[in-house]
Parts: sequence; C-alpha cells; structure tokens
Amino acid sequence: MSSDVSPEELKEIVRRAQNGSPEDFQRLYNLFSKPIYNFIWRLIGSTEDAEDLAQDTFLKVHNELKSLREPGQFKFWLYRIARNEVYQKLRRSQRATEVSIDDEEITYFNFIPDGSESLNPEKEVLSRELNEVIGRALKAMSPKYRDVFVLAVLEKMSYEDITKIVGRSLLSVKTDIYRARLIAKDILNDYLRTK
Amino acid sequence: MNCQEIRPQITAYIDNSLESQLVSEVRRHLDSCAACAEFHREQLQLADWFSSGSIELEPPAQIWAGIEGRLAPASAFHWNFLEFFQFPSFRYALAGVAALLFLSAALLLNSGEAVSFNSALAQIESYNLNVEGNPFWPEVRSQNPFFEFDRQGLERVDNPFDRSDQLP
Repeated sequence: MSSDVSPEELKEIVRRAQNGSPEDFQRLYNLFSKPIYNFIWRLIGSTEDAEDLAQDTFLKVHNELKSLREPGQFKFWLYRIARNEVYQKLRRSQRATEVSIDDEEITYFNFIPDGSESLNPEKEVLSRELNEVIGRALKAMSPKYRDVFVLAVLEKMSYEDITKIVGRSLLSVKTDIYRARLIAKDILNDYLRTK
Repeated sequence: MNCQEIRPQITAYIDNSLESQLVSEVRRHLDSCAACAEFHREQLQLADWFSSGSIELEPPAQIWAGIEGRLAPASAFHWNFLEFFQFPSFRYALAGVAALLFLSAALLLNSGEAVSFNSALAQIESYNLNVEGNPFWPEVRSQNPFFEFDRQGLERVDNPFDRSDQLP
C-alpha cells in the first residue's frame, strides 16, 4: 500500500521511475496496484474489466510518467488516469449496447467473484449480503456520484484529495457525496425493510 | 445555516473533511436539531456498514504479467508492424514520407522532361548554326543577300549595315 512509504520516499521512487528505472516502476505498481484495482472494480462492477483497465492504467502511467511535473502528485494523477479509463470503458459499453449507464437493467456488478480466495470464510455470509447492498447502491448512482462516493466512503480519501482526482470544486464534491449518500441510504433502508 | 444547507456539511463532518471553521457550527446544530441528529446517526451507520461490508480484492498476477509483456525490450523483435498504426505520430510520419517520395518522383519526371526539352532545343539550334540537316537552308540562304554561309557557322560578307569595326 502507498502508506508503507513516506511522501518523500514516494517522490524519489517516482523520480527514479521517470528516469527509466524499471525496478522503481515495479515498486510503484506494487504500492498502488491493490487500491487502484479495487477502485476500478468498484466503479466498473466487474473483476474481468477491472483487470484489463488496471493493466491499461499502469501501461499509460509507464508511457506518460515523464509528463508528470510534480512527483508528489503521483497518487492523484494515477487515480485520475484510472478513473478516465473507467469512463472511456463505460462510454464504449454504452455505445455498443445503446443502454444508458444509469439503467437499472445492467447487471455487471458482481462483488463476489467466483472462486475468490481472498475472503475470510467467517465473514463470508455477512459480507455477501452487505456486498449485494453495496453493489445495488453503487449501481443506483450515476458515475459522477459513484466515483466520489467510493473515494470518500470506501477509500476514506479526504474531500481535498478527491477534488484533485475528479477535477471538481470542493463544494461540488461535497454536494455530490451528500447526494450519493442519500441514494445509498435509500437502498440500505429498502434492504433493512426486507430483512 | 438551515437543515438543508447543513446536511452536506454533516456528511463532510462524518468523513473528516469538514473545514475547521464549520465544525463548531455543525456540532451546535446537531445538539439543537433532532432531525439532523437522526440524519447524522443514520449516515454514521451507513459509513460503518459500507466499511465493514466492503471487500478488498488482491489484484491478479496476470495484470503485472501483461504489463511486463507489453514493456518487453525492443531486442525481442516480435513486433507486429500493424500495431504501430495505432500511434498517430507513426501515421503522420508515414504520410510525410509518402509525400516526400511523391514530390521526389514528380521532380525527377520534370527534370527528365527538361532534358528532353533541352535536347530538342539543341537540335533546333543546330538548324540555325549548322547547315546540315536543316531542310529550310536553301530558302534562308536565298532570302538573305548579306551573308555567305559556310558549313561551320555564320560568316558576314559585305554587310553595309555592319558598324562593328567602329565599336570601341
């Protein structure tokens, strides 16, 4: 995880990777692959797509790393690239299927991948139910609300950092997260009523 | 702030992202407004449910394997030439080379025409200076009384208009 290194150390790794060090680029991958993969997975709802998009994200990072002027902004730049890859994928899917990405009929959200060995068996039952609720809540949100909600509530990122990723004002981010939370609350209330 | 205005601040407060100057105002409002206090409690529970229920997946190993494969060094020489067409800069370079070749071919063709034109001109000029092969020579000679021509070139004889001996 990126929290394993200090910001100064991360800057140095980025600078060396910018100078062409393959070991440092791999180190960046090792630090950020898990959060980026999970971020993409939560936005796109499919592990298969998340795998392809994560790969495309890091390849783009490798090709364009030298264009990053401030190594200290690497994390936000990386998330921005990942988010853009997801949006491009969603636009391509929308053109291909002629179905709105807000359409409730889309069932690409699969938060419990078959054969996953990363789950703690003791938590599996509760996790499965909660994940269904999370999946339904995220599916109910537009991409504009979904990405800020994931970053704030699931990734625990500060609103200030989120503005650097999504390129919107603090007020806009705050309002969108609030609206996303209202949608999530409605979905959660529906689930609790059925229970 | 009224309840509608303060609720986005409440969610920011829950997410530890509220501006410091608004924290005390939100806390005062929560102490005085039962509806917003209930909203605050629900949102805390929501955050808790989402955090505890969220799964963190490990990225599959094939992601890095795919990246490594695409970043393989040039010496592997297994490029598919057609893959380069996805790069706009390669397409532009190819168009430039094609334009350059076309221009060169056009220039070559023109210079070939110039050569043939020059040779034609030389032949015409030879008709002026060389009596051999000039079908109009007898007629030219008969119409010009001031000159006698020999086979090598023009020779002026008894030209009453000739002032060349008076030139400085």
